Amino acid sequence: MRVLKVFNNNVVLAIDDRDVELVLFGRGLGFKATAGSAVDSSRVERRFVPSKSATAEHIAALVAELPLADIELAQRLVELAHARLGRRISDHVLLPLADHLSFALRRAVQGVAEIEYTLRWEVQYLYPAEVSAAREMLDLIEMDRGVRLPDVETVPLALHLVNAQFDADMSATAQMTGDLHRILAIIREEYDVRIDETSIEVARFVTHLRYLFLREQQGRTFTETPVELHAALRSARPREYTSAGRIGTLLADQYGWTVSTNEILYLALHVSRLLDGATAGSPKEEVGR
Amino acid sequence: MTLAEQLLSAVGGTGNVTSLTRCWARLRFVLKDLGMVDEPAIDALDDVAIAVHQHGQYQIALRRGLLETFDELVELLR
Repeated sequence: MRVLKVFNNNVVLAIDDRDVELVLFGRGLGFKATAGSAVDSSRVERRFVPSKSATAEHIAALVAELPLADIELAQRLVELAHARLGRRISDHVLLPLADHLSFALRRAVQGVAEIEYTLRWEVQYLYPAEVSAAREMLDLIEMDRGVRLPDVETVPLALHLVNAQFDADMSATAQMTGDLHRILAIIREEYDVRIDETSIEVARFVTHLRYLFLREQQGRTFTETPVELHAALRSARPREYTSAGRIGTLLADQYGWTVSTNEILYLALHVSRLLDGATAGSPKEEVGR
Repeated sequence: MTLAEQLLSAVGGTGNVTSLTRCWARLRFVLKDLGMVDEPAIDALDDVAIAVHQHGQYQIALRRGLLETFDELVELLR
């Protein structure tokens, strides 16, 4: 690997033996390095591979401008996320997380007003595992910096973690979050039930939907399910089967996906479970009746 | 004027915007001429939490309604 450009003592733009540009980060890596010199591999702590949305130059500029301490703290946050949510957390989350952290600390230190994040309610109940990891992140940040970020900061942190598990872009995650919420609303309205958003059934349903989004985005399909299963479920739970169809239509309209009958079957099962765990009507409506 | 319209006019109008992206907390403008930004006007807006210039972007954190304002700005810039 050779150095193409030195950004500062810790950040260089380099080119590897296969002519791929990448950004390298490591304490002292850029010190006395010059364009054309060999990279001191022993000092490389982290490598960033450019993507369509972030060019090598852009990444290098970002890494060079962020305080070293913020990048290192963000690394610890990513390790925490790995421990809590598993290895499927993509390493690509590091930079957006470091950028967010840096800015959040700056806002907190300057006493800038709290942000009322759009999607804050949805995030709290749709992504409880991520929110809980995000809360631990606030503890870690406080221990490291002596600054307690407001509780509402769990929202963007959790959203970064959702992104990181699906390597999705932020607009796809925002869209999915809104749609998960709408899908639960469809069920609530159609059956006039209260759904306990902290229940295991809701968590399973949401997890299932998140993977459905992933499958559809990647164009993957479920293996075929036997025809008898469809017939059995349709006759046993006709209404739930219809609701699953409505969810499929919503997703088809929104994204242009062809939601297969296999997906509909699983959705119908989840809707059934959800209803078995739900209680009738909302209190307000009962009073009105 | 809506918030999106006020922001767009304060950063120098459509013609001054090279690109616009967002994260969860900030609108991120890449502007042609930073000199055209009316910073006092932006700071005076109630819904603006803080505006900063960093990483080659003019970044504005909103106190509320970031996603909606972003969508409206995208329409206005079209």
